[in-house]
Amino acid sequence: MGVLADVYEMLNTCNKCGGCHTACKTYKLTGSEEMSTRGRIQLIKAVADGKLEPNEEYEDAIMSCLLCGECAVTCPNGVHGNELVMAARRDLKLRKGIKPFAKSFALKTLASPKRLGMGFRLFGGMGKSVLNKIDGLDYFRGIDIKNFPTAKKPFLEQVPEKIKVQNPKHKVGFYVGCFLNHSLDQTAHSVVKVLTKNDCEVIIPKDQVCCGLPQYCYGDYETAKTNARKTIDTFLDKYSDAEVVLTACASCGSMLRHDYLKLFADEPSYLPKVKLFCDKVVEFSEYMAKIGVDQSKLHNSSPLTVTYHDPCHMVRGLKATKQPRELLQMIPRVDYKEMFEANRCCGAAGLIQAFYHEVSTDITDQKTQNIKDTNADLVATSCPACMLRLQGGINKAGQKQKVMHVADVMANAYED
Amino acid sequence: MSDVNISKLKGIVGDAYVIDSPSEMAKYLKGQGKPAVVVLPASTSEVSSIVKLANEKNVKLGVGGAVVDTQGITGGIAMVMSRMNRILEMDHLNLVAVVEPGLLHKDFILKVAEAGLNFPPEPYVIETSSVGGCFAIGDSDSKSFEYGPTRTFLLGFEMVLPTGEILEIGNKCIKNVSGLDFIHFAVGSQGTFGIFTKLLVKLLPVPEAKKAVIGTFASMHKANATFNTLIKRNVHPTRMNLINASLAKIAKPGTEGQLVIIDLQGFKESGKNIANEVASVLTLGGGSDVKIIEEGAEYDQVINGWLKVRAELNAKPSEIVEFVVGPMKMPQALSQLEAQTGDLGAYPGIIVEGLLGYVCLALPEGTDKLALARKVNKLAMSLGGNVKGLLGHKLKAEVYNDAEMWKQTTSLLSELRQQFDPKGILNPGVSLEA
Amino acid sequence: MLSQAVVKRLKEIVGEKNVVTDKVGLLTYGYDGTLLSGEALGVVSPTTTEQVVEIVKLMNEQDIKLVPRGAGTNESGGTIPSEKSVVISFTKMTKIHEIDTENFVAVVEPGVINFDLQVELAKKNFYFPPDPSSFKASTIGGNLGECSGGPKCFKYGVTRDYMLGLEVVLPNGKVIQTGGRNFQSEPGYDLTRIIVGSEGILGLVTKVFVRILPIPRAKKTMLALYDKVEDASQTVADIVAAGIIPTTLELMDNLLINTTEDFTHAGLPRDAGAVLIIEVDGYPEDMDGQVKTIGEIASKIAKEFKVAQTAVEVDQIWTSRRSAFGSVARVRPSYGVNDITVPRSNFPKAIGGVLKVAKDFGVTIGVVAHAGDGNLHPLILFDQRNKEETETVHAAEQALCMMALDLEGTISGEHGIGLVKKKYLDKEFTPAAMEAFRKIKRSFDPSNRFNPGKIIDL
Repeated sequence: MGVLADVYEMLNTCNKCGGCHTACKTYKLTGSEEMSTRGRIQLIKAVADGKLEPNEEYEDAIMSCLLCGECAVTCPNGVHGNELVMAARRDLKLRKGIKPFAKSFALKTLASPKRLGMGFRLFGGMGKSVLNKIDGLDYFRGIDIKNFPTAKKPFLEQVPEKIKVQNPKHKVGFYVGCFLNHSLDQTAHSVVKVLTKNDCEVIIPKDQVCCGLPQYCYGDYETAKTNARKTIDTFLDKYSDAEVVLTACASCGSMLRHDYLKLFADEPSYLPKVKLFCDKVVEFSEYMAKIGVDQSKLHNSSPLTVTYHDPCHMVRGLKATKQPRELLQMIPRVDYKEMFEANRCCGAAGLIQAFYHEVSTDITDQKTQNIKDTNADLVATSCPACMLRLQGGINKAGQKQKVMHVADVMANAYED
Repeated sequence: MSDVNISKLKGIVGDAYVIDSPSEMAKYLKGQGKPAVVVLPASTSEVSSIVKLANEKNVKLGVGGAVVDTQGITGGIAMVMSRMNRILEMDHLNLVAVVEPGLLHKDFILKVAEAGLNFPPEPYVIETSSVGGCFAIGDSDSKSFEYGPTRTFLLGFEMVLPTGEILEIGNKCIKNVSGLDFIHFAVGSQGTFGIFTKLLVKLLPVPEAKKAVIGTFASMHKANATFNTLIKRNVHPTRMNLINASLAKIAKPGTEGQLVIIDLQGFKESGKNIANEVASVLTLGGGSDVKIIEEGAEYDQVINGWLKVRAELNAKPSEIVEFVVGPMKMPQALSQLEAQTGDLGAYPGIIVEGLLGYVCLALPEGTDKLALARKVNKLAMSLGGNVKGLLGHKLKAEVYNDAEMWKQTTSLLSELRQQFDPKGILNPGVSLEA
Repeated sequence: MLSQAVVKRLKEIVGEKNVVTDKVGLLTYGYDGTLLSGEALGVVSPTTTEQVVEIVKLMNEQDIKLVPRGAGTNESGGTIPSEKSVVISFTKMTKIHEIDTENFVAVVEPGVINFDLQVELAKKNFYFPPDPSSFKASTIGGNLGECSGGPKCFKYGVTRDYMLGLEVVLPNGKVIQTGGRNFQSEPGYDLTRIIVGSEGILGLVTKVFVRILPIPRAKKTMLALYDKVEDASQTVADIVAAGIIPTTLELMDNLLINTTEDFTHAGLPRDAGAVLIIEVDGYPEDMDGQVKTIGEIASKIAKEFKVAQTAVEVDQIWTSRRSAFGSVARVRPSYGVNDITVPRSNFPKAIGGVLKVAKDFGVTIGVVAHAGDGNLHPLILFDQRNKEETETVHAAEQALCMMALDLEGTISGEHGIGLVKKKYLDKEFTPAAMEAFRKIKRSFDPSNRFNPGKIIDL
């Protein structure tokens, strides 16, 4: 009960005006009140008041939240629905552990680098062979399995720990993250390429682990902390010469910079170190915009219409919206088109796409349509999870757009 | 033999205001019915007493502003409201007026204009329409696109119910959603829910400038095409009316061909530009004698010409068929209509209200109204419209082959009427069956 | 509890997923924008008119009452399942059947969210004038049920002025159509009008024909700042006297200026006693003249007057206004919204009355008002956990209603009556008028099956 008591003031501040309905994609697409921010908040309050005993339906309501954070931006009362859901998930975890089995299995897998690598290969491989044969299933719960990219070997095993440049101006620590390591290794290479083209020496610690966000999101603070501590110690102790800790994954970025502080709020002795670490965290586009990119080195021979999708953790987590757009528009012959609701969730939302795939698929379909309406050739974004989700949605809709990370788009504009 | 107690009536309103000699009664009456008496009350309590009296003996009662329709009140009472014709209040701060129902519509408009204000609903029949009648009929008119239909201008009223009870409702707030919306529901109920005895009316500031553009056209189709051009150009005048050749002469003596009247009420600056734009659209569309009218007296003359035509048609409800379609569907409507009626220009009368997609047809003598209405309704429905009002609703249900819907609608209407007037004494000539 | 058999029948009608009977689901359909709550026997979400008919017939057969609900954002308690009833939720009837800009009409299902319709209309350069502050969440059906207003009523009127026709399922399960696609197709009595604002007590609307208008070619947004609220109301009176009809005359007092600033950072001066947002629209060539006149009028009293120069500035101003209700939670966690309306000439007196109520009852009240309409929303701030304080607030609300009635006003300008204000209704209406309401209700719903207990008791 303690967890909910901590957020009770905020629960009580919700006046049920329903203003958050518009922010909540799971509500908009289902029309079900229990799938809305307001509904979730009132349910959490009922649990906090002892009027409702958490049951399976409650768990569904709480677990199906995308945590996109749009409700927090929309609420004039300053009620942060996503934080309340996080508290409720923590509360559930403390009450009885995370159920059902599949969810806890997925989280455990993510937490361990070894299992994760296996998982990715298994999932990707299975999709291409086994799942595909069942019913000719190309899309498992809205995820494009056939085209699910799997790195032949993890990115961390492909590159040396230090990548030097001739006249280094900066030293960048690269926090790769699970997706770039195991799935989209090409994007990780793009990041390195753009950094080195801009005179950055890149340090890539081999022993980095999952940032802990998935566990944190599902209330498993203990595992999240273990991973967080490991990440902080790695970068600050072993690679303290890195000026910044750069990530090309907005979700990791938001976790590393903001959530670590919350996670260690109860450890005052360790907190200063966490703060030191958090201050060093920077997202790829933020960093490139900050150090400045020499536009004259960028080349592009054919006209390209580009649109940009703001990952939730980029726009509401890191609050970085201008930088990626500016970078994209620096590339010659790029015609930039803004899409409708660019800053709304793509439907991936971590494990939601697997466990609440119906609503997730509807969200993606809507996003895909918004992309189509721009007539763009290419969708750029800043989060590997969004990349996979968007590409899947686009393929499923029979559209042609390619989804790339901002780093990929930039890397293509540099001559090798 | 009538159950009307003349002496009691005289006791209520005074001898002078109870008229029972047929020759004297005639000027207050229209239609074939033969009421026993005409009574002219001067106050709400007199109206209430008369209604109560009628209730006692179950006497039928018809009500009118200056003239009473006698249908259904043979042997009953015809109540004329013309003595209740005062403006009780003209409130500039709130832009409202409190008016008695018997005040003639045309007199009210004059008084409102003198006060520097504007009451947009137009009289049904210029000479005899009263303000009470205006809301009892509750129609829309060719300015409704801009100002809204008649009901928009009623904020409240005092009413004597069919039982004689007095009901007051509404206030000077221009926004009011308290209770059920009986205020606007009563508009158009044709005196079946009760008799208006006081009306709280919403007014507007007068527009800064008024202009009209007129022109004549060789064919209805060409004239109407200019309306579509204007709508497409996103020009929405205050009214956009078309009168066929037969009626145009009434509106503007000496007119040859179909007359277009475009009314522009609004601001000086835009008014000038829009008038020019409209004039060029009319000219390019084949109009001749296209003229922008700025001078007040001439403007009034044009508008009054229109009102005269409207009155002419409204005076013979049994000889007209009215229908609506989407405004942009009017060209198809007119073409298809012509297939039924022959040359539209030569027809006894056709008017078109361009922004509302409204057409009123004056029928040649001997026309089977219902048969024509059926055809017209089918035509209109294929263009997103229908024949106007209750008749239209009935015909629509026919087309849907949905007798149940029609039955439901009429039984709901009669139930409502029954609830308010259990004995069925008030304005029995008003039919809710089409 | 619904019997297994009824649940099964309901599921057969609308599908398994569209019937809610579990505790969690029921809990979330038991509240709306008010402090009230109730618990329904079940929630059923139809997707077609035919399903609505079947539901109504089944409920009649079982003698169970129905409470219609849109997004549940109302401030009247209109969707609270206060008696043993099933909630019929229209949030899954979200089709926009047709947008016909050439003929100024759109045909929608009741669950369409006002904002979603506006987005589709905007693509064609049209709009639907009624836009209550809740418009991003509330449904057209809900707007219709409560006859919602919004900031543009002074020029454009309320929801009722934009309803051309309806498809309605009556309490006996039969379907009728009222009105049509235009002004002139009402059958006999204006049934559309009586259903608009009836909060679902007369019929369930399953299709709506709404009037749409082209977006005005030009618009100007102005801000005037005052030391005192009374000064702002003087400007309102003067503008109206000058014959100008702005679309908007929105007023916020000092308390709300500060709470909205906390949220929007729009740059309103925190020491101002009141701000007036003024907007005019129409043809571009008429804008300068009106802005000039308004500027002259306002500047006589206002300490500052400015015209928004960019779309961003306009947006900021409106974000402030639209967030007014919620933002007060930064001061106290709960608020009670009032919706009193007085004749415009009594507006200054009403402001005085609000201050007096605040003083008499020792409560904090923030005022946001549609000043042109004389419609005030005094927000009483409190904490619902404190029972005693909550009682005081209810008493203060009653005092506000009585004050409005004393000033020849109404207890509801745009929110509706529902459960919250039902108890004051006979203070506003005479017994004859109350009886007229009952006559109407009886004609439609003699067995009192639809949204029982709202507005009036039979």
